Amino acid sequence: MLVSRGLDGDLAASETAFLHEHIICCQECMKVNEQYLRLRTLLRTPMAVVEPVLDQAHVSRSFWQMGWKIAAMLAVCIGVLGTLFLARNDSGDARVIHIIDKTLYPYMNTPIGALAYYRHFAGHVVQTQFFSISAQALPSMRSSLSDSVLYSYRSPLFQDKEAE
Amino acid sequence: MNGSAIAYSEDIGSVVRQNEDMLLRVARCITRDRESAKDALQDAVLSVLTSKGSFTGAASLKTYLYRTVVNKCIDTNRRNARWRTLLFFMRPEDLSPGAVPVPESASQGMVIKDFINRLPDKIRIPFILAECEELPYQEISEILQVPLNTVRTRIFRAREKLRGLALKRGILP
Repeated sequence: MLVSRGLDGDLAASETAFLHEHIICCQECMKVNEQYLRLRTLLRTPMAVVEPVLDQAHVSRSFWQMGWKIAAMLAVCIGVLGTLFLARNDSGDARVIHIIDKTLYPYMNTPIGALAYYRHFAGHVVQTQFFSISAQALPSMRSSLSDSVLYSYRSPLFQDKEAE
Repeated sequence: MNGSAIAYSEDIGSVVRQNEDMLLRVARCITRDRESAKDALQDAVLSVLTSKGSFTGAASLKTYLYRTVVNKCIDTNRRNARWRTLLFFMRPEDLSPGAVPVPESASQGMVIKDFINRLPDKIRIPFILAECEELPYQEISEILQVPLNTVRTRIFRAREKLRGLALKRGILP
């Protein structure tokens, strides 16, 4: 530590004299002193004008490489989410298209008609379903079908049949 | 503003003008960044101007200003520490200095400065004040508000650490 303090001029005159005498005799301390002086010289050497390292960083190259990765990940995410969303049964709007067929004299378990409806989403048909309707199945279908479907089903056919 | 406040402001102004370069150099060494150093120096001067009451006159106005600048720089370093993680996202080749021709001694000096930047603040700041600014140990002790022997030990530890790193790199014989 004395060598370090001597270098910074923190020693008293007597201590400085002692240090100089010691350095002449001690190879190890002389070497340390020389190394400290070399460090000081290097530190005080005027630096070449070099721009800070970060200013020269080619950020744009990394950015675009990362940008492609981000775009690819976004495309995959949109695809997966879109598929999941469109595949949901309750998405879109259920509506009766028309009655495909009807039987004028229904028997038990005989189809009295067929009901088709589709679900649409964003202007496209995403799901179509057909139901075969029998007299036996009709009461349970009333509870399982939504009100709008039942209403549409009832309107021309069922109400006519009840009226008969 | 009364007469003593005006005199105080004028004193601060003259001390800042006389030591501006040195203060900025110290701030830059501690913060490792030119813009942060300017911000820290500006904050320090404002702080000294607005807090006349905390200057007791025990130390000189210059020492008081140095102390404030060093404290502001340490605060800035703490604030900036959270952004350092961003560097991990940059590719190593992006951080390379490029093909700028640099003399050997200058490049070795840059390596040594890089080593200094990696030292912990505790030993780096007193070392910078002693080695680069050539301030006496007593003044460094007053600026950092640590005992004189602690300053001596910290500077010695910093110097030894640098010597070890330079020997490993083959910069020193």
